[in-house]
Amino acid sequence: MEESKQIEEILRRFHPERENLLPVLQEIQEKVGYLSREVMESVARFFHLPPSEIFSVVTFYNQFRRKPPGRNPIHVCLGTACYLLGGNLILDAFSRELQIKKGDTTEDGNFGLESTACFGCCNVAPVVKINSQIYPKMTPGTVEEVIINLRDKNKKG
Amino acid sequence: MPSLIIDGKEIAAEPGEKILWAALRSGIHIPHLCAMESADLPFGGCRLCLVEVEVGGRREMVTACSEPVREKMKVYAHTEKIERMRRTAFELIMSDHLIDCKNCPKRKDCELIRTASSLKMTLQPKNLRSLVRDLSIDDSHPLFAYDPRKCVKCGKCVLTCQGLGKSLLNFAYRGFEMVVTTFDHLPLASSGCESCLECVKVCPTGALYLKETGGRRDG
Repeated sequence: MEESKQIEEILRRFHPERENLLPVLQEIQEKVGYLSREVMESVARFFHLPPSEIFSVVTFYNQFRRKPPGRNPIHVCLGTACYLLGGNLILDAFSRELQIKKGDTTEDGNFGLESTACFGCCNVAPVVKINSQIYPKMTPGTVEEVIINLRDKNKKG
Repeated sequence: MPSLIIDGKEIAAEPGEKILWAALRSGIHIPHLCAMESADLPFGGCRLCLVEVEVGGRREMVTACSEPVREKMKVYAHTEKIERMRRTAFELIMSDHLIDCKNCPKRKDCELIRTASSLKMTLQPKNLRSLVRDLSIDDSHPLFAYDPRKCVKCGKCVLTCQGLGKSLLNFAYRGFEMVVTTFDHLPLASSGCESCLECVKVCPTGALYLKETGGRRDG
């Protein structure tokens, strides 16, 4: 399988020492997009660490994902300015609308939901970034609109 | 053999021993939940064993479970400041604990009840809201079950499972969302558990319990 070859190639370049765990996980995620159960198991074997230890590390850091990213990854900003202007309400609205939690991807693989900290455009807070486009001054009401537009676009595209 | 002075009383300690164990052996009670004498690196997570030590004429706050004894060191284990810190720590622990002693398999044999009485506190926090998380019981295993709502994240089960060379249990996630769980949340029954039940023995609360003691399903 293509994916397991990629992983093997990454592992070959590292010594199985604990200090290499994070770089290995980061590289695999960059190549493959996420860290599946199987990937975590092979990483555990490589480092001679218990799988629960890998799981512990992967869940500790926000940067790691355990599900494939959606075709439209939605990044809700929870930086200070966005947070104060209700960024968490925007995140809740997306979560409700898409029926997924932060870090998850919808069943159809269409949307992923993530939170991040600051895109550097606090003047139009609260903001959301989807496919490198910034959506300014979001409200829970505009969340539905954004999703409908993206669904339409995906059907056409 | 080094000796140290706790609350004005001189006691003996083993070389390299941590303050907590020297104190307990000499009959000085210091509250503690997560401490394990066998731990190489005590993480001092529960904050209940906080004490003040005198360092160069100044007092410093340390966790007694992780601070090694030094010859003639002066330790203050029951100052007003320390008691206040411990009460806050205990309230934090109890703020996300499902308090349901009536139906709890641990009943009265619970470290939280003992700690509360030694701190002269109630189980229910007075100054903090209760934020019990919506987590479900894993009762897949025939002999024991795990109720994460009663877990205080002391890590004793994690360390014990690790010490036995299995490491099936571990911490996952971070901060308020932290839980003790298996690899990828596998049910306990299919996690590779060999039913040694050591984790149940070390659990200070009703989180890990034997099914025969009758923890009710809905807590």
